[in-house]
Amino acid sequence: MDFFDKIQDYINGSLSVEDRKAFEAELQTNEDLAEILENYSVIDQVLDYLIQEDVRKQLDKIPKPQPTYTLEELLEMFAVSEVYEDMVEATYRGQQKQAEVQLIVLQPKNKINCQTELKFELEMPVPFKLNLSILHQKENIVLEQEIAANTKYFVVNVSKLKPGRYYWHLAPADSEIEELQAICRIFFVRKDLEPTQLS
Amino acid sequence: MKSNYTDAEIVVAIRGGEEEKNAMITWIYQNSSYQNPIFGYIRNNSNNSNNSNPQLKELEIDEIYRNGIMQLVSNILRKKYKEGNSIGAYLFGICRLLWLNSLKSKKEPFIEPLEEGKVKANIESSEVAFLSQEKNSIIQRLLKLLGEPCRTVLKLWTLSYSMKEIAEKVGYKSAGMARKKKHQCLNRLKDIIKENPDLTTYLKK
Repeated sequence: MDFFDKIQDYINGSLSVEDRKAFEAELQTNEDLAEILENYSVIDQVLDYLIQEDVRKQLDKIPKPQPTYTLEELLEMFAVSEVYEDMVEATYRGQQKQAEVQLIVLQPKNKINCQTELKFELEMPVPFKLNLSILHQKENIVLEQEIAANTKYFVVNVSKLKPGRYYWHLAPADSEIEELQAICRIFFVRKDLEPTQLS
Repeated sequence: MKSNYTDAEIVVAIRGGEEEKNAMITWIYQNSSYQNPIFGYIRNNSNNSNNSNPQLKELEIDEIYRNGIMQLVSNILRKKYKEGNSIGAYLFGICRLLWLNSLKSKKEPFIEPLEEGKVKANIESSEVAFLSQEKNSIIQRLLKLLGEPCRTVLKLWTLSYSMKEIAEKVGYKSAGMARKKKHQCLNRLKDIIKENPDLTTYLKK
């Protein structure tokens, strides 16, 4: 019999009387076996680790329930950008000013939760080409879209965006047009995933 | 794969060849009669105010369930699981302990509801290794000191491979050679443990 294969059985007390006697006799003469038995609690943890690591490889082949974001990733995805938050603030301050042509966005409102598309509605069309960008704290500009002049309604597809906190920024495409105040607001994709620590 | 297995068949498959074992691990994971009670129990007993995000909670439970299966397979292979116990209840017991431990480490209070009439899993906490960062890094260091081919030889031996299979996998001429190597490797591991009491006393706690 290979005594090394029988250590756990010996500890469990599941060896037959004969085998147990043989094992104990071997312990008297086989110093290695005795020392292994003595250190078995640690050896056992190492063996457990080796098996668990192997099983993990197999389990990793099974997809996890969607979505597969870790808390760390979610914290990053929903991170607040101070720069963009300032831009949002500026939008509200800017709207107090009186100008000849004003860019007033009726929809979407600030901080909406959105999964497919952002539906825009301007109070009145403006005679300039506009540029809409979608911003994220980490990746900066994630999406850009040009909006033709004199448009009142338009839609921006955000279905490919990962969950997170985003900002949309609407401004004249020609940066030299200063009459129009840019508009910036917050929106969320899958707000239900926002880690609670943040709010 | 069949749609259902007896506990004895599961044990045989886990101790069987690589393919058989891996197929059984997948089957266990997907078995709703194991999965549902565990997910349900943790969902129902979770303190929702601390982590109200349902998706995250599901991912957390899934992780506990996976760790539970890893421990189950390990206990079957290392003969810690006593045949005759229901595998479903045993896995439930492991996952429950893993979950309670995760609450403890997050310092979330928990009062377990009385579950009269429910099958209590016949399991002791000593049968579950609560692998912490510290424990993992110590074991990884021991394994690094052990090196190859010993790491692979001991892994295959623990995974119930025959000496002939180990010889083929690692490239030894014979089963006898693999057996000799296994003895040497086990001794080497024991010596490393003896020579590094600073590392291993933590594991003896």
